Amino acid sequence: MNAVWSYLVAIAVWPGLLFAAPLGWLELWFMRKLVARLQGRQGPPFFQPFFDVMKLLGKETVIPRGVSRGIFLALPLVSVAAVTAALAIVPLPGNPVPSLPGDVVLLLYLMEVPVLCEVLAGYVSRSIYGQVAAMREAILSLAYNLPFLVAIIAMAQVAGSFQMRALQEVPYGLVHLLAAVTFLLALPARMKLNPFSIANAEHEIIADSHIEYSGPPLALFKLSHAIEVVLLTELFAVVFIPATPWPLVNLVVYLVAGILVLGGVTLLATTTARLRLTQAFRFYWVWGGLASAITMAATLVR
Amino acid sequence: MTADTMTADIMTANTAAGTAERACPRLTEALRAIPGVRSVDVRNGALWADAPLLDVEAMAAAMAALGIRLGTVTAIPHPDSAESTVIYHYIDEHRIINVKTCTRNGALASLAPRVRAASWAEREIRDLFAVEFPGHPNPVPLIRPEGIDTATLREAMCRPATVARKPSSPLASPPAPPPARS
Amino acid sequence: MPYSFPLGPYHPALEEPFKVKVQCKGEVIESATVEVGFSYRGIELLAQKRNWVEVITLIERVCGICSNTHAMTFCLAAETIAGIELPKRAAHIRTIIAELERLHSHLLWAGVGAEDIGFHSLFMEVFTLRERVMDTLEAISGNRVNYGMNCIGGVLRDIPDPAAHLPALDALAKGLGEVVIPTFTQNPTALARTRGVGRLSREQAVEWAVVGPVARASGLDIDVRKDQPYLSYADLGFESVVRPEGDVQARVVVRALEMMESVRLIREALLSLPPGPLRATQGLPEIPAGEATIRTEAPRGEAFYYVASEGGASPARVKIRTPSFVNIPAIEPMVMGQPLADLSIIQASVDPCISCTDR
Repeated sequence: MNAVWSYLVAIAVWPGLLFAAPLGWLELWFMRKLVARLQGRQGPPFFQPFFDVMKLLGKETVIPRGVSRGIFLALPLVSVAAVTAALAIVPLPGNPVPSLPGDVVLLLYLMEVPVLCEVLAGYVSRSIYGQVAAMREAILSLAYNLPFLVAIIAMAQVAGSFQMRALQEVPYGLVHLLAAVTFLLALPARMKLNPFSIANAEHEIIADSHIEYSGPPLALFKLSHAIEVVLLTELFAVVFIPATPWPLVNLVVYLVAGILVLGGVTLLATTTARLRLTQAFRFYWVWGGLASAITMAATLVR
Repeated sequence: MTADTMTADIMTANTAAGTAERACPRLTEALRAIPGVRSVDVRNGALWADAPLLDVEAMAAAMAALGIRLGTVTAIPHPDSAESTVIYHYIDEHRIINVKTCTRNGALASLAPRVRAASWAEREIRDLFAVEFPGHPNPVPLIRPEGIDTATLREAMCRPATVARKPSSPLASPPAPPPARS
Repeated sequence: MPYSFPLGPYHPALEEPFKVKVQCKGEVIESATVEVGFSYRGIELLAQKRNWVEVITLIERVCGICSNTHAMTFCLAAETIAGIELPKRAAHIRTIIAELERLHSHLLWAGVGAEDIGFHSLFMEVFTLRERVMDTLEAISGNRVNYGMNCIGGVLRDIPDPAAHLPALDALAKGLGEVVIPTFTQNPTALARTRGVGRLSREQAVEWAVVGPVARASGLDIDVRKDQPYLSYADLGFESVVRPEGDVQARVVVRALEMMESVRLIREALLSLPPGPLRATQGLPEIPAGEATIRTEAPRGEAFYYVASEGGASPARVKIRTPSFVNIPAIEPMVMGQPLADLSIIQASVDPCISCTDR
């Protein structure tokens, strides 16, 4: 299969939209059901995230007056495209995309694009609530990106290259554990869950930065969020869970690991309140910084 | 002591004013000292000071000196003129002190610059009963919606109510015995 | 760059319409303006157009959360004017309903407060606990809100089996002591959001003349049930709860401990319910000319009523001053210098009841 076709298959089929979207919805449903059961409620039925997207697709798009139409409608598309492309590069078993040197850098860049789209969505919307949400998202990303990037870079340092496949094949060691902890530290803020759900604090700023979005563009943003969940969990699994020689077993292990990570993050979210921006910032630069320093120190020791 | 003062003493001892004297002499003394207060008596468990030409600022100063907080201000519109009866309700934690006065030319000096609790009460009275409080630091509407004039309640409140003495709800009359179930 | 941030009247934190407009610089609030009046219904006017029985139904609907307080205070005022002596059993039953209402109101506030700091699970827990109170109220009065228990001269319904409500009280005390109070006072994220936030010093509390739990959390020991006892509070004995700190955490603690005190009061009242008539007068009350001022302790603080009668079929003037009317303006000094994120919890912490304020 030549390169163009392999990329198209990776983006559209596996691990692209066709499989990532339902997988993302499954994982979102799992999180919502777990939260509900922990709170003593029933929880949504199995297809709820799918129904939500379908409902949004059927609604009218209202563009606020004075907002630039082009960028308003382009942002969700860019977000979905970036997240799907990032997922296409992750070396999941059966991924047809050939491994490129330096694709870790490409992956990290593509993972920042959805965050940028969120921030821009808030500013573009001309709503004071959207702008405050965008400001919070931007400042929070400055905070959690420290442990997030350091975890990946530490693994790249140990592997000696910026190629995803090399990261996957690093022999298991202490660095894996430390970098995994650092990565997990950044995860609740990245996924906008308690105690770091500051950017989408509906009791303080009405909604998140998508406040002025409705209809299909909002559906695309939600789809981007679903695929981002898959991306984050699968990235964690690929880099930090040891691989077995059998691809199918790997796949199952990765999916289970993803569910476990989500379960842990959800448990944290249900047992905590929401922190303030300054408190979150301080937490990430103090504790995230400490974890990052220890992780980098561990790579140098080897 | 003349016969008049002796009679006056006996009369005081038996009136509501006398009860006030006995219950809280210092407070009654302070209330009587406010310029404009005509009489102080106890009615229905609260202290009432009748003061048609009250010096509002003197009252506020006297109450502040005693450390008594303002509860609220009530306005009762007069049906035949543009004046209203205004009652200042003070709450000394163990009793309520009501000072009843009347507006002069539809206005009364504002307590709001000195007493914070009066601010919203006076704004509301201005909205609903068109009583002006010159000197209020923030005389913007509180309760009434945009575009509606002051005195929204005056005319409606003064109109006599045609009210049925008995409630017309069927539930108010004794219920008929429940039908026998077979 | 300074900007103006309106919170409301489609309020995200409370499901009631009021507006707090804050001037911010970055995330710090510099000043605030509170606007109310969005649900003004003219109840004081309507009260003059209803006879003495219908007006109780109207007054009860000033507010949904503290409906019983309004009806009870109005009936107390009318009884004072007419010189009607309340039977002991009626006084006990009124006390029980008033304290049950305090419980459900404080639990509702605790849930909303938890939601406002983003703690959804605690909100669910607290509201599940609140259902026990609502079930008890429904068992006694037939309604979850607007109980219709008060009439001039007494109460309309009896509590024939007081001991039947005790298990619910035990479950409530257990839930409060094991889940609600420890979570609010020990969970690190909840503490991080409530301690030191929205401080109202004692001097400010006196200056702004606040009442109720807000005043008691700032060190002012004022409570109508203690200062001017009414109904059965003198018989049952009452201890007020006071805290000196004046921040949101203090208000949480004051309300939580008040709930424990309410559970105790209800249990005592249920166990010591004296026999006797439910009402002092039968049929339509005859209220002579006169005026009365009555204050009672609503869940949010001191509720003040002035009722004037000219001997007619309807009241001549009903003036309602609810505790929220004096507590809501106090939001303005509380939010100065605080981060914008705390605006939501600070204004929720004064427990604003907009229906009460707007009438």
